[in-house]
Amino acid sequence: MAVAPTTDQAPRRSLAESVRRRRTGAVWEGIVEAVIYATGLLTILLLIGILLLLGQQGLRLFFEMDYPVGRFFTFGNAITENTSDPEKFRFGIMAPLIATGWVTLVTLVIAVPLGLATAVYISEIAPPRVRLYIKSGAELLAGVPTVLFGFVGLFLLVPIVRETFGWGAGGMSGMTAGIVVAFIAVPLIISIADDALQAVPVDFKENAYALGCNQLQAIWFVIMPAAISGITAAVMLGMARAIGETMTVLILGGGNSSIPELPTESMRTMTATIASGFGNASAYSLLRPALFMTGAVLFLITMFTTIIADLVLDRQRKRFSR
Amino acid sequence: MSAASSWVRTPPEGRRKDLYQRIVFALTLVATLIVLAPIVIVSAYVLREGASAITWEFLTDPPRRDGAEGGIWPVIVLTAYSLLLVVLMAVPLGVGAAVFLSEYARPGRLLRLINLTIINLAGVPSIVYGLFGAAFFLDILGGQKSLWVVSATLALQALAIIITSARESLLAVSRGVREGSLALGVSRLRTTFFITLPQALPGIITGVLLAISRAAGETAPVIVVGAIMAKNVSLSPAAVINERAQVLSFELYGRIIEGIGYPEDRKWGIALVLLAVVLLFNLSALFLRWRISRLGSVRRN
Repeated sequence: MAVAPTTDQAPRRSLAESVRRRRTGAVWEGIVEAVIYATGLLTILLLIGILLLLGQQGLRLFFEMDYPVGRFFTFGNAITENTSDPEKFRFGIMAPLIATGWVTLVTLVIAVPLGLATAVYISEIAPPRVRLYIKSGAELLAGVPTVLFGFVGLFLLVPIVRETFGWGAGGMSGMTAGIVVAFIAVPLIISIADDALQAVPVDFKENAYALGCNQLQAIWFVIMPAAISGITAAVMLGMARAIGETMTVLILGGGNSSIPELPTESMRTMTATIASGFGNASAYSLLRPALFMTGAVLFLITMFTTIIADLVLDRQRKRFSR
Repeated sequence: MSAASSWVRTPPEGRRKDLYQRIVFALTLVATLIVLAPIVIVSAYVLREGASAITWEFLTDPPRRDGAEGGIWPVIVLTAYSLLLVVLMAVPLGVGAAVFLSEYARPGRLLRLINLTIINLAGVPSIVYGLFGAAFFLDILGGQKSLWVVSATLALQALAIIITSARESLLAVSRGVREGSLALGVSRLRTTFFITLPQALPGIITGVLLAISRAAGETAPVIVVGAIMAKNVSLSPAAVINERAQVLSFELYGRIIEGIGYPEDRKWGIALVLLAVVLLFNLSALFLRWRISRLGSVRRN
């Protein structure tokens, strides 16, 4: 491109050449652009692939291995043993599902007030600089590996729980796990609730002040109601995070595979059941597809929660978009 | 506000309102401190219990007597390989998808669907990625349980973080810059590669650092896809294909579960190394983001 041609037909050829070159460039660019399009579509493919593969592996339990569907959904225990005999296999999703429900409930009871209070503090009360520091701190908290939370909880929290309350298996219970999971879910709640509060137009606050509200009243009666969609979404995404959390509930939950009647009992959630059973599930046993089926149910629950949260969030976005 | 109340005589009711406000605000501050406390507690505890185990030998020697003596050198090297592999696999795909979303896709149903997909991918529990990895890489592709399978699974999980952050930083590049380039007759692809991407690079790197930090700490999918405890193996790059995975997070988890017979301070030593790696990447991401926001404000003025 740089050197000018020295032949007598220089101008014409160089024009023709430049057109041709642009076309070869266009071919290459077309290829690269096709790759870019493909990567964009790959995301959809991945999500669908996860669903299909989990379903395909999980449904073998019912279609190839003759495990009764009713029994999978109602049996009150989830014993992770290797067997290829449908009669002897005692695995139902009820117990892990209820355990997940308890842990999630405990998590939300702790994480929602903490998260929303923090979001209000950093968004409305603290000076901007402090807000930045605390947001960074929350992000750091979100970055700590959950296995570390589980490990530290095992040594710090479990002895306290064992001695003061005597819950579960030597202090390991759904409650213990839920307390720790709360700190894993809380950064997400803070981040989304803070965005929601920040998105409320300043006029709202100013009008509230003009009507004689003090700061607290403005927050409670005007700003928070205006941000309610975003706050709801924050809670739902925190919930999805708690449902999917594995390591802390595996280490701190206690591991009892039967249906827990109280959150203070030893229990094993869906995620913990998969993590503890998958390692020794042989390819021909009923256990492997049963765990895939559990994973598929887990996936559907979190996907459903996430989609609803996004729809709710979209409402807020549309409301305040200029 | 206190100045105003000394000027105007507030009625008792108003004063009580202010008292409520003070109490509630104080409570929100307390909540904030409670939320942040675990970082300090975890770091302090791990440091106190684990610092004594960190010696040169612990970091650079191969394990002896099933890991009860010697060091965790192979785990450190294989973790580094695995994180490198995650970057090599996830970054091109993730940035490609982000370029598609910010530069090529037109607003409409497809864009909305892909954005919803990415939000969902970010919300998929890590253990489900593990199940997918086991089913796809081991059963369908017929791979052996090895380091690359673990890395590929972690890369799939990292994708959502990388796409989201890359898309945001691409969208933050001002329209004018892009349009200026297009107006000079530069094609859209070249504009993207030579104008837009370089400007978005710091933001993209921030996302990549966060994704690496996540991948380093992730344990659940590693358990599902299959890893082993510290073992003396060949550490040439071929280990990625030939050897079973040994990663820090799984090493820590395995030592907790195995429990008896493994020195307590060595467990915490592994925890400390893991925490250090994760915080290193995390803090550099935060630092970079802080630099970007400062640069951004200067540029705007």
